[in-house]
Amino acid sequence: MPVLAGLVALCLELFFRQAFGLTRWAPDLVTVVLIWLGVTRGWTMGAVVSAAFIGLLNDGFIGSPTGVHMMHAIIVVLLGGSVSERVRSQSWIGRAMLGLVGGILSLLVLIAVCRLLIGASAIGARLGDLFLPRTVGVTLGALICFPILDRLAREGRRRPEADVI
Amino acid sequence: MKQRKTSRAGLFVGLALIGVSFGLVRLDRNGAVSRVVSAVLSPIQNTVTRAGKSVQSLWGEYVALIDVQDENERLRAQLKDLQSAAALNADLARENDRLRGLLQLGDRRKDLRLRAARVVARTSSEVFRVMRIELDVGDEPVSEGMTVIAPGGVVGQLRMVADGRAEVLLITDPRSAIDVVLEQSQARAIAVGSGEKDRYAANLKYLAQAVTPVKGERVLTTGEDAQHPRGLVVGEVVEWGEPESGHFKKATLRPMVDLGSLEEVFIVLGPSGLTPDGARFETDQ
Repeated sequence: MPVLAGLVALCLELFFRQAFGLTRWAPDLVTVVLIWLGVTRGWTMGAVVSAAFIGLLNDGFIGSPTGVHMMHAIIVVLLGGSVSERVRSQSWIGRAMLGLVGGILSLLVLIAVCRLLIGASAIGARLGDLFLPRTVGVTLGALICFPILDRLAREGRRRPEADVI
Repeated sequence: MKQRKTSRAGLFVGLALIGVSFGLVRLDRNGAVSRVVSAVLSPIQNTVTRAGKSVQSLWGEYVALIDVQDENERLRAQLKDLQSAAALNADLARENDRLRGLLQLGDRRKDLRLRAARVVARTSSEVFRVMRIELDVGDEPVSEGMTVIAPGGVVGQLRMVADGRAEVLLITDPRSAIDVVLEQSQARAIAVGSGEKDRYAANLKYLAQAVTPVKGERVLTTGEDAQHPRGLVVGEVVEWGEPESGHFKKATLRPMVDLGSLEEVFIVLGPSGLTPDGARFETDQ
């Protein structure tokens, strides 16, 4: 389910960019999915592998060197997992805070990964430009998408039991 | 306890995958993995891109019509303004042409003292052809009987003058009579207004029977009627015929001036003491 959610997030992001001409302000829904994945699943193997897949898909979608977004996605999920037992993602405030902090950290991680893997400093130079749109986008995305993802996850867990019955 | 094991395993897998991603970036220089990933994703990407573009097009063509309506109204208002400005420009251009014609007339006939006037009205009588003018340029006195001309030729004669306004009896009015000469044959005649309802014309009376006018031949003033200066064009011969009785030929002339659309005219105040080209007369002449 998380990989599918990541793929849908990628498609929606691309759709928003194409349909409404959004560039910087296109919501970073993949990061929202990754934060949700890390916070709800913790450091589980499924979460980490799913994150790697989502990152790989992101590399394919964006056209970045294969591995850049993969590493970014794994780190974001691991960071999310590190706070999974300490935060409550069920309240609106909790979701907003997760989105806000997650958005900032995700951007910093991406800059660090780009710097480490490809030595590119362009995204670092654009930090000022990207900071507000990314943070706002991820915060709003967390508020809207976390309940949807929670609901989908619950539905996904129920289905096998129903099949058994 | 189980949860901790799972967590630790996830962390190890995560670290391993970070190593894999690091290796992918370093080792996938020829882009083999990228190509595979792109090949798998490109149908999805293309579909999403097409959908996005369709929505963009829909947005641009239909939803944005709200803005187009406002723009349309603004452009309509602009169009009206521009049309008014264009009409004004065209009017100014016509006026410019007319005034240039008047200036040229002044240059051609330096032997005449002229005063400009503006046509303000034309009578709508069936027979009488009268035009009203306003004397708003210059201050030389004008009086009844003075010749009124335009760049094309003679227009008529001042009939009544009062309070900066005057009435012009056009050459096509039946009460108008001008002593004229045909330019080529030098035959003399009297041009009397025909007063026709549907056209501006004058009849040539007392034209000698032996004369055969040429179509389009110009008819000029002789200056011998003590009313009109010599050599002004009155019109051109358009038709003639043999008389049913009497000794004179019948002919019709059409005024050289378009009397129906005149807007500015000159009143001939009198001789200027110069020759037509502006030279002074010798005293012994």
